[in-house]
Amino acid sequence: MSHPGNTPLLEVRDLRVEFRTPLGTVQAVDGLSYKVYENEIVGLVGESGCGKSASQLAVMQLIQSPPGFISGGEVVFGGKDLLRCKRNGPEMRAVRGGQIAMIFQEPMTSLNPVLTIGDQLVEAVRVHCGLGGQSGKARAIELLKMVGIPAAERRVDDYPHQFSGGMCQRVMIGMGLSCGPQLLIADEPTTALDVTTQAQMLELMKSLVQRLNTSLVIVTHNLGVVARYVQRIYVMYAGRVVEEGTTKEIFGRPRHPYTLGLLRSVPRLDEDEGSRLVPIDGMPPNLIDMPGTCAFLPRCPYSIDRCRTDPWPDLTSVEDGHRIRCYVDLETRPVEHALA
Amino acid sequence: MNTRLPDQEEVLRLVDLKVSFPITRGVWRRQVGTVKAVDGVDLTVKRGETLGLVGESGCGKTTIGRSVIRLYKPTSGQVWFEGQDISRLGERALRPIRRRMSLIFQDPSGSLDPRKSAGSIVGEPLRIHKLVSGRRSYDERVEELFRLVGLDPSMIDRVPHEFSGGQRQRIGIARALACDPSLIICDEPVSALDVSMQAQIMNLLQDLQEGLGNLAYIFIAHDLSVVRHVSDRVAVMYLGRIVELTESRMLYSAPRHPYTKALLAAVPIPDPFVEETREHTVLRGEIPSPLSPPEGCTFHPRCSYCDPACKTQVPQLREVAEGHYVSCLLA
Repeated sequence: MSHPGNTPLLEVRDLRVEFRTPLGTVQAVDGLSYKVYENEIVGLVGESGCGKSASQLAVMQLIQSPPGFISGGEVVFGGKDLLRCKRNGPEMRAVRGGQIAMIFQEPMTSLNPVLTIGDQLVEAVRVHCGLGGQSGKARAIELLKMVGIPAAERRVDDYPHQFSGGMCQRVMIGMGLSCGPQLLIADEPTTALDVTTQAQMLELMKSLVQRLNTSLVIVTHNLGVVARYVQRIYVMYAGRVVEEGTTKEIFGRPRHPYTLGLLRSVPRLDEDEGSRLVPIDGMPPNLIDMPGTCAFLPRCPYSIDRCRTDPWPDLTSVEDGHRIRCYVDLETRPVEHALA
Repeated sequence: MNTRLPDQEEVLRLVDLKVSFPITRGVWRRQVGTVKAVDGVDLTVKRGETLGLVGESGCGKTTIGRSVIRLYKPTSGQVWFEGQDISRLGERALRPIRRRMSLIFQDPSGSLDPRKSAGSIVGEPLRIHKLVSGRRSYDERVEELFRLVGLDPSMIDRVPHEFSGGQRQRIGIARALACDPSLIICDEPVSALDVSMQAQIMNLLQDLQEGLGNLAYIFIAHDLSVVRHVSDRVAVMYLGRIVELTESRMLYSAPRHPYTKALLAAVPIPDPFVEETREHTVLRGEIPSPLSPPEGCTFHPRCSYCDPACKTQVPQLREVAEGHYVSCLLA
């Protein structure tokens, strides 16, 4: 899906993040580019270590440094390159939590255990919306009601340990949306939660971002979540996007071998009986001293001679808005043929 | 209560199993209540079968697994393993029985001793139960186990941190297989692994079952699609009780209990075309505290079909179709 005439809300260009460790430099994000448009739900999909979380922390300039360094790229948000703003300067502080909000994987550990839920919500609205005192407290209660916490007037004075995991995540969603951000980044928002709670959280986030005209980036390894909630997908491997397109294009006609591999390795609730999973052979690559060739090559069943000699190709367009980083387009080389 | 001797086709039979834990308070550890983690479960596992146990956190699925292997002592009820009631046996009497069953844990790094070599970890059950005599046959057996789970025997002397997550889980599986058990309890064996590794481990477990014959699994997981994929039969648990038990192919096509239906609806299917046509009804509320479970059917406060009778009557697990058990007054 292209967005003619629209400028993206967030455009990340050629982002590079590295971690300097005693064993060598880990290139966690290696030239990542993606766009998020207004009122859009975008998914960043990949396995652990593919750089999806590191890239999001880099957008917010929350990478722990050292050992982490943002070594290149641009993060254009509202016509400004955020990477040129000082990490703790006033501009970045206004963006972080104000215009761009982030929700993390472990709701329990994202909240301060010695402050009440109310105190933490009040802090957010005081810093970013200038609401202090009684109006801050009133806003905190309003936020708790918005995310569906019963008896909000009473619960606002509770501590995080008095809340369940799902309720803590509701608080985090409320805090994230407290100042009407233009973009909400949810980093594995439901991984630590039960399936029914996961569904509650995602439905809540979806309805709230629609109501508040906020764009949403969901970072996840769960392909089901992506299929249900996301409009456009970026599939990541070894710090780069290997395939991007609309959700229907990616699932309906996956054209990168890694995407196809992922789709065939997850069990489906509606699968036929006796069907067998097709795992991806081998292991994810070591991100220290990467070869210049395709990082997926050692695990790829479709590789051709060119993959072994030429550098990892750029993203190339195979369809309107559908791009892959591969010398082999699975669409022009049918799957059955390649398996034989 | 059913006390007849279970037949030879069964490897495990649980009869009205109850496990509760005391809650204590203060310096004197005064008991102030009990958590009924497992509250009356009847279950059988046939030889060579995979039984899936699924439910949300706190539903008692792990407690069942650990009571079967007697890491927890059942409060009441019986655990028949290979025709013998082991629920009251002492530690010494349990030893030969523990050889016949083993456990695979969720966290492959936490369940392996970081200072021992992989070979020594896999061989430990052989040493404890004195199953091999002589260094030579010991080494051969350990190498055989490595090959069985798809690990290179040349890695025998490495320590756990030198392996990837998927490989560590293979070490755990090799250790579980060492004594040639008839039952392995797999407690969330793939939930800590990445998608591509999950498939490798699930396929390995299935291949082992086919190759070894007569190996039964109790497969405990919270992920319904994973459980359904590997299991012959699936038991859905809620607050310490089984609410539905059926063949896994029936689970998705014809669920009868409202909780099972809600769980199924909550799991997204990785296919946007299917998702478009599905109804996204969300189960309201959260699991009640097992300290004070609701009266009547424990699911009634969250159930969208709830009837006045559900608030007072406790439903029993009953057969509604052949091999299909449901505990719901309305099913």
